[in-house]
Formats: sequence, C-alpha cells, structure tokens
Amino acid sequence: MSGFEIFAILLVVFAMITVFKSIISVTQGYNYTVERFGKFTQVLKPGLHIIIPFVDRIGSKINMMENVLDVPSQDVITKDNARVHVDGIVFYQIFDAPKAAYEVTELEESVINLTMTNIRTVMGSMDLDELLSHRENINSKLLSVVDEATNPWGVRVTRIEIKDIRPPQDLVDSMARQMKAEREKRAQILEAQGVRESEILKAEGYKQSAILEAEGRKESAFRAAEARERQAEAEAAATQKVSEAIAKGNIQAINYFVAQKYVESLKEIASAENNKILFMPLEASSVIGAIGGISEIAKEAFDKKGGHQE
Amino acid sequence: MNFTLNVTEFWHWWILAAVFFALELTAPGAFLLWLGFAATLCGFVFWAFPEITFMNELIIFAGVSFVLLLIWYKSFRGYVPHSAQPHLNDRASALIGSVHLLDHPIAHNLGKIKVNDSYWRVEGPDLKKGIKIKVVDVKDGSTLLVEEVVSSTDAH
Repeated sequence: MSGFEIFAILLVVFAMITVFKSIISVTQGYNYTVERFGKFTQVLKPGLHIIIPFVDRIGSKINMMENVLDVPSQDVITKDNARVHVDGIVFYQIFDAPKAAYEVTELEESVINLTMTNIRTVMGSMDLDELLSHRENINSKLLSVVDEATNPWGVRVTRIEIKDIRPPQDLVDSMARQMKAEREKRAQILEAQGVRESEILKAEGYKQSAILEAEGRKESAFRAAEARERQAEAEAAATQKVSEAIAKGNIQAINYFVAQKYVESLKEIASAENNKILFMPLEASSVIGAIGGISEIAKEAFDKKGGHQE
Repeated sequence: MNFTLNVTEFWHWWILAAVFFALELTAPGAFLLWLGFAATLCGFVFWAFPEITFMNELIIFAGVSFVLLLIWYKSFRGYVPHSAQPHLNDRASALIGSVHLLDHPIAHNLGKIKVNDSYWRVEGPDLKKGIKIKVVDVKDGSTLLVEEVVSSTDAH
C-alpha cells in the first residue's frame, strides 16, 4: 500500500469522524451543554446543531423532563418524643441545564439528602397527632424549603409527598384502643338517650290518653244529662198534651188505655219463663174479679217452670 | 496488499450513499445523513469525470463532506423546525399568558401562586389576596413576572 493510499483512507476516516463530531441532533426532552476548551459556552436545545469539532465538545446531556426520586426511610423523633419511620417521594424538573450540570455534583443525591434533612426539621417540630392528620402542612412546608434551596442548581421541585408515617407498633395499638373507647362511649350515650326519649314519649302518651278519657266522660255526662233533660221535656210536653186531651175528652177513654196497657204487660209477664212475681191492681173490685185470672196465670207459670225443670 | 482498485464505477458511490442513508435510520444522530449526501454528490462528480482514481475519489469525498458541513454551518445553522408545542420541557414559558387568582398576597414584590397543585415564585406589584393576575414573562427560568388583570374584558 502506498503512502498516498493510506493517506486517502485516513482522510476519509477523519472526515467521517469530523462530521460525526460536528453534527449534533438533540432529542426532545434533553438539553446538551457545549464546552469549548473545558469552559461552558452554550446550551443546545432540541433539534439539529453544528458545533465546531475538536474545539467544542458536548459536556453533559441533561434530562429536562420531570423526574421522581424516592426518599429513603428514616427515623424521625417528633416533638412529643414519638419515634416514627418516614419515607417520601420528590418530583423535580430541571429548568436550567448548565446550572444543573455545573453548579452541583450528584444532583439526585443532593436533592434526596436535602429533602431528608428537611423532613427531620419539619417533623421534629410537630406532635404525632398533628403529623398524622396534617400531611398537607408537612408537604407544603417541605416543598417551599426544598424548592428555594434547589433554585441555584436550576432545579424546580414540583411536589414533595410523604408516603408513609409509621409510628412504633405499641403506639399504634394504643391509638386503636383510644378510638375503640371513644366509639363505645358514644354508643352508650346514644343508648341512654334512646331510653330517655322513649320513656318520655310513653309518659306523654299515657297523659294524653287519660286526658282524652276524662274529656270523653265529661262529654258523655253532658250528653246524658242533656238526654234526660230532653226526655223530661218530652214527657212534660206529652203529659201536658194528655192532660189537655183528658180535659177536652172523656175520662173513660183514658181508663180504656190504662186497662189495655195493664193487660199487655200481664201477657208479657205470663210469657216470661221463670217469673214468680205477679202484681195486682189495687182496686178492690177488680181484685176479686182478677183472682180467678191470677190463679190461672199462677198455675200456668208454675206449670211452665215444672216443665222446664224436666 | 494491493489496495488500488481502479474498477470503481461512479454509481458505487450511490450504493454507498444508500448504505449511509439506511444506516441513518438505525443509528442515532444525523451525521450519516451528511455522509450520504456527500456520497451522492461524489457520485455525480465521478460520473462527470470518470478518470479520477479511487484514491483521489476518496480524498474528494472527504473534501465534499467538509464543504457540505461548512455550507450548513454558515447558512442553515439557525434552522429550527416548527414545533406544535414550542414550550415543551419549559413549564415556566408555557405559563405565559395564563390567568390565576392570588391565594397569597404579594408583599415586597414577592409572592407565590399555585398552578397544577404546585407552587411558583411570583414577582410583581404588591397585590392583595384574591386578585386576578396574568403571567407576562419568565425570569431566570423559574420566577414568573405577573401583573394585575385590569378589566373583566381581558381575554383569556
């Protein structure tokens, strides 16, 4: 192989390498930093770029997308001396690639450590109950502190969330007992209230019924009195009429009616089954006349009774 | 080993160009594209001047590659393809023009607003809580410059 041939081939290889080194295609979601003789000169945004080869070189390829970091578990002692096991997650996004590349070493490590120390600070100043019921507070406090601290690194923290707060098991048990006691207390109070309410209602019911009964009786007494009054009035009116009629008519007609009623009632008494009571008119003359009739009636009555006794 | 092949035809360069273009599909970056263009151009040149030796062809190919690079560097360097979402990966710029309600008052020209369940540092005139503000610019990549929305007829 002659020297010229070697030269030609090497030249082609050199050309290819040069082209390779000059043409930079930056993917969406990344920014590349360019260094010239070791010093940062510019940022390449997504798209096609040409840099001067051998003089410029790509420093770092920075991911500009939102990213998530796991904050590992650690023990934190709360203000009321409870020891809890805490872990969390951090969402961050780089907004300034050169700062992220050159202002801080080990970016992820730094963010995680920053978050961990701030968790200890924030949680160490809260009581356990506050901690468990106000996670929102913890998250926002952490966010404001860590976001401020990471600004010089070109990093924006979008969210910090505490994942798990685990108090020691015996504390968890007593919390469960406390809740149970709370619930039982409530149940008992409600029961007692229920009984009280029902007794009150019952008593009210009795009272009402007694009142109504008394009212009913009062009413009925009134009505009965009214009825008697009316009856008396009617009898008085009837009597009045009768006496008028008697005054106008013949006394014999009245006697006729009296005798008729007397005979009718005798008939009814006679037909009753176990009667032994016979009444007799006081008029002496008709007594004699009636004795015959009475003996007939008595006989019949006793026969009947005899009949019945069989 | 005798490397001198004088039997290259001009269209061999086009085969090479095709190979480069094909490789471009699989390999990352864009440099193979350049080599492909260079090879295509060379094919035309050697078609016109078939008496150039292979070695010279190689040198010319190298030269053409450099020249193409230079032309692009000088004239088309600023070329940025159009993007349907020009503010990707740039949340702060994406917020320019949006209107928000202040949850916390701006005091000493500094405050914060909540957007998408996350907080942004805000700089602007001192304003009370509950006032509508509009993002007009971004400072230092993470601070939003805001001003009050004055009339209700301001379009969103």
